[in-house]
Amino acid sequence: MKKLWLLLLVLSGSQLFAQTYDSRIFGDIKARWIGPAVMSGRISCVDAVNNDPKTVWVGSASGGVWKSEDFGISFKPMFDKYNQSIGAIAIDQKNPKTIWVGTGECWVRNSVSVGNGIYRTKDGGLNWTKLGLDSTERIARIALSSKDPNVVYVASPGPLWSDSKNRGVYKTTDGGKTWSKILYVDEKTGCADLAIDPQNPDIIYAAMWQFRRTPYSFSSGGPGSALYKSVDGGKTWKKLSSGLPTTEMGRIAIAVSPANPNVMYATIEYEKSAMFKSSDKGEHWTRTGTTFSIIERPFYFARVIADPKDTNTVYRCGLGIVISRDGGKSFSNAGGGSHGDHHDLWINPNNTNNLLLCTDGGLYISSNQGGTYYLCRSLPVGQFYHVMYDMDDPYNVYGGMQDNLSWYGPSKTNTGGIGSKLWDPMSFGDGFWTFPDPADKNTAYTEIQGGVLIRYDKERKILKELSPHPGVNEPKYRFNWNSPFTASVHNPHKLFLGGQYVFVSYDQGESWKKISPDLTTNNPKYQQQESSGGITADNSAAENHCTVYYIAESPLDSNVIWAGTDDGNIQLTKDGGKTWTNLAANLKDAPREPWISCIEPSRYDKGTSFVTLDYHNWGNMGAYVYKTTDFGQTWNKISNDSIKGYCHVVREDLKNQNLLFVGSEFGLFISLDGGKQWAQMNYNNNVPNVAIRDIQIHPRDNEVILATHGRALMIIDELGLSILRQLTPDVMTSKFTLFKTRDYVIPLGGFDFSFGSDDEFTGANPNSDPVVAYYLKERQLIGELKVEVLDHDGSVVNSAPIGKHKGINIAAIPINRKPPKVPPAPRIAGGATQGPALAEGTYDVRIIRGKDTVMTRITIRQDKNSPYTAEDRKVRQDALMKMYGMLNDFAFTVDGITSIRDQAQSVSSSLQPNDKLKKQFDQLAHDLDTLHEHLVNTKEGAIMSENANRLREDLSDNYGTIISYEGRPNNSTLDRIGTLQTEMNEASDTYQKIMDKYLDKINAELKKRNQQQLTLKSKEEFNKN
Amino acid sequence: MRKLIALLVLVSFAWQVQSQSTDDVINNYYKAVGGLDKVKSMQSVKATGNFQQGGMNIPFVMYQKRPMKQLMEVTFQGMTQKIGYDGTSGWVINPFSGRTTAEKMDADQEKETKFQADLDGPFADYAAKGYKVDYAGEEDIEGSPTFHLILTTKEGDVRDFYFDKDSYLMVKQKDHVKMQDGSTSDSETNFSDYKEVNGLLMAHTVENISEYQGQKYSSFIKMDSIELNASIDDAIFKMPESGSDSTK
Repeated sequence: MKKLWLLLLVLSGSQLFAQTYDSRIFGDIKARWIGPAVMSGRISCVDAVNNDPKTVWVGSASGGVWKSEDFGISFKPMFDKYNQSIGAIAIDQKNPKTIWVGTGECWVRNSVSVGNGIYRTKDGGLNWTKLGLDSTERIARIALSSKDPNVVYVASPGPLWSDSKNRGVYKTTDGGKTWSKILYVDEKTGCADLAIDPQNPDIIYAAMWQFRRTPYSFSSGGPGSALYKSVDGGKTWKKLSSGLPTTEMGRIAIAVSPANPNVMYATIEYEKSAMFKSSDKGEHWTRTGTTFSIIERPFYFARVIADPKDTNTVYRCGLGIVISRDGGKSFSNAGGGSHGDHHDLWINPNNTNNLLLCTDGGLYISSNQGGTYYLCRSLPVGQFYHVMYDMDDPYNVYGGMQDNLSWYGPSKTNTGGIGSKLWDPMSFGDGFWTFPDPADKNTAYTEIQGGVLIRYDKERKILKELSPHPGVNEPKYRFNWNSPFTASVHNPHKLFLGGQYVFVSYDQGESWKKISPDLTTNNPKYQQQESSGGITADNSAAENHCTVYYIAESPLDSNVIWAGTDDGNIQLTKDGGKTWTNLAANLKDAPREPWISCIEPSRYDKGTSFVTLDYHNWGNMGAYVYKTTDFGQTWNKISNDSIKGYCHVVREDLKNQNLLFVGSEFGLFISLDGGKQWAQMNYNNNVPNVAIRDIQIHPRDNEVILATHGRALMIIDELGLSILRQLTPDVMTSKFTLFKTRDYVIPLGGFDFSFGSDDEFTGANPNSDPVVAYYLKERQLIGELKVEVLDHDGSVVNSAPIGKHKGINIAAIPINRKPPKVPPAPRIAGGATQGPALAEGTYDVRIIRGKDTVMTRITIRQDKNSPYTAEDRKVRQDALMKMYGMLNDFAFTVDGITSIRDQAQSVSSSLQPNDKLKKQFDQLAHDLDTLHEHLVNTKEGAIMSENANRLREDLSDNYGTIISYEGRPNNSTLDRIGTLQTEMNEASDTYQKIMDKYLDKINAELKKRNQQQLTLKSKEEFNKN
Repeated sequence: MRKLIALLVLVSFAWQVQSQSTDDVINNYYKAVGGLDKVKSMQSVKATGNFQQGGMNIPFVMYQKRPMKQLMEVTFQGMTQKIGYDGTSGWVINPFSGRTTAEKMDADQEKETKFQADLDGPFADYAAKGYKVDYAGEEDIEGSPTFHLILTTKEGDVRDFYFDKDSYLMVKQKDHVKMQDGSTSDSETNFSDYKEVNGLLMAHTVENISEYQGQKYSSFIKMDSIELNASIDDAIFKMPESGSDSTK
């Protein structure tokens, strides 16, 4: 038995040794979402509850699942713990709290993400269960049987970049517990669309699609593509052919008319792509329409939607959505002013004017069948590729995104948040590398796909195109979809650009010079983009290959420049570009020909560099992060299984050499020990499993900026980064460790206002609270944990409970004194609800944890942009404390007045009517009540009582005026303190006179009668409560 | 080999011990706080403490009494707000907004107050109360493992409860409540600082968390004292005919 325990100990011990930290450590460190949502992002699918259409479910391309309960005015993310690439959503319309989500977008553009199976919720999205199909990679449709909600059909196109058996049509009859593959063609052919007969759910149609991407090509179509029908719930299938193309087909979209299930529509990609219609459940087909708008880019736009009521009305998603009202023959625009590139459409079956349209630029709502649209502006699901910062204060963030231009906007504001109106667009198209000119504040650079460079004049909003072009006898320049374009870290006038060569410019892009030979493999096999696309040619620069994909200068030496290509080369020059060495062969244990997605030369050692290798275009989704310490002669793999998904970026912290960040397709991963171990910073920290495409660390403000491909931009503030920098192994093995935290900077509290509306996303500002931060090894459920803030004299200013969970806790601490005392009245004294904050200075802070006490300090200081002098601040603080004291004194006086009044009334009522003393008590009560009415507005029921201010309200107002402005109060406010003090003195005199007149006399009488005398609380007693 | 088998048996036994049903979690939770009998024998609770947020300390007194009666008195600037529930209907006196007379509680608040007024907590005899409770497995909550129960009310409100895996004490509650205006109100509550009160373990610090666009904001309820079975007059839970005179 002893040995057994030993064995168990060893087992658990070895686990501990293997991993000393994981995601749980990050605790309260939160990324803030700054959006923008002014352009939203790509939405891949939508469903709504037919009998309660205000409930809308949206699947974004790579930003998760969102739910609206107000028909698109506001949204909540419901899927942040899970895969963020969404292919299909289906609501069980009979049990609308049951929703099925298929992961893996089915609009298979070059930048598409990957899914990991199917999920279901039964409680409206609060809790989800994963129900298999893990390896299908993408799901295009989920169709529920109208007879039995446990019978569900799933169309999976399957993996995009590799052969796989995990594709086709799947069926469950037990609500997702088990699945059977009921239609399968081959390892290259999956199911792109599926339709079910609304009246007879055993009749199913499946559009099978042969397709494939490689790093350098795309192909749609082949012998596998065909339209199938089953009439027995998928037991047997037949290929439909009558009236259909006889040559090879590509992607097919199908729809059954809900109004009459005999009627079907299909768009079919083939050499003469067209729309087809059947009026006999798919048995026979007629080619109806051939307009360009219904056949363009069929791999990307493959959705046909039949109107729920009119069998002759049908929509097709495309560059712009179109509508036919004549059974698919002619088409007109139904996209109104919406963003282009449409992927899915929901039509309200009870009001077919009412549409929800999914586009590359967000979700749109129409109430007139597509004539005009409203953009849902509360979905921050932008797909950014890269991000950069400038040195303004606050700094601006620059980034480019999929199909939604390049933008810049502030990283924070001194008002309520970062509104959409603060973002400025800088070019059109898809956006990638976007950055400010380091030497010219008015200039920024952006880029459009395929190496089209733009210089942007921020003040005048003028664009100029800057791309380099080959000279006579020079080979054509090749540029990646996402070409590296960046400024030198050493010379603010030097720009780098990657094609197959590295180019530099010293004149803001007016002229370009090559500083390298062709750095790629220049493999002709990889350069057949003109014939890419398959049946329909599709050459958008998305498949461009044999190009430089990343350029990075050593921060320590401007002559050391690294370049990585999309075909596996890592090239290094140590002489500023005169000679280049290809280091690819030194990556001995890595598979061949990765995309070199990022190179991060170390800022601590010239020979050290990190790279991320991305093989996903070859069908390998693994994480590959390597490090060299000898200029790339040898490499060590530093990624392990803790990093999920193919990697886009690796960054070294600017201050702590052991702190590394990796962005993968499935999230943000952090190493605290130089790459030995990795832990995901996940949804608990506001970072869902979304692709992190770029990471920048602001060198002045110490903030980590994340370019997510699906959830727009995020920032981990200085507070979080400073704690990450302090997370040493000693901290992580301690029971409790206090971290150093930033000073508390008194907010400037700027004013902004917009008239109310709930429909717009606003980016979050940093946590600006005064805080303490500490590490707890385990959750503390028993015993108190609180913080006390002490004044210079050692007295406790205030105290508050603080967080008790495992890992990093960040807790706000109260630096305000208790609110001033205010005499009771029938309404709140709005100006006096807050106590004065401590003035600038450094104060002791006591953390009390059970019996233990730990001391720390907090420094309170002015914002560096504060317009207030120290003298102003002192005048303000003195005035505030004076008013604070006056309010407390006044409340004590009024308490005395009402207390004696009430006692007098009480004694009076106990006396016989003919008692000679009674009159005296009544007179005392009356005089005090009159005084009270004079000092406090006691009128009930009036919300507005501006003109009925008494001394109570005047004192509160003046206190409120002073506390709500951090600088010197104006003279009339300061003078008013004296005026109010005089009024208070007068009131005190009156009070005293009344008391002098009655109290001794009355009390003497009461004493004579052996009755209790009228008594007053002492000030100490009063202050206790 | 025998040892290996023993180990496997032990491991699988340990796994079985860890495997939970709804009733296991509920029974162990009541055991952890001192026993269901003890909970049921509690006739009334009087708790005093403070609401704390951003340096504001607002004192309150809370009275609860069987069956389903509750009164909360919150004092600020010398005025006392009262939020009462007499077992069937709720009322408020809100002097802060200029009213000192009692008015009927709004339906959203009444639903919440009614849920809270149950001295046994929602899990004792949950089926008889019309609740559906499902065990939803283990879940990591802020870094520590918990058992997760999902409670669904007749109205369709979903409330998640999380119990510390070691002690079975309640750690967190997440409410998703349908409001009168059709929206769903989400809120989150953390329980800590458990102390024994007459043989029952009770949380003395309750953290309320609200979320806005990905950012979380905390406020605390801090109990200074909790008194069980104090004698409380039933009359205080009744809606007063006219307002109290606390502000004159």
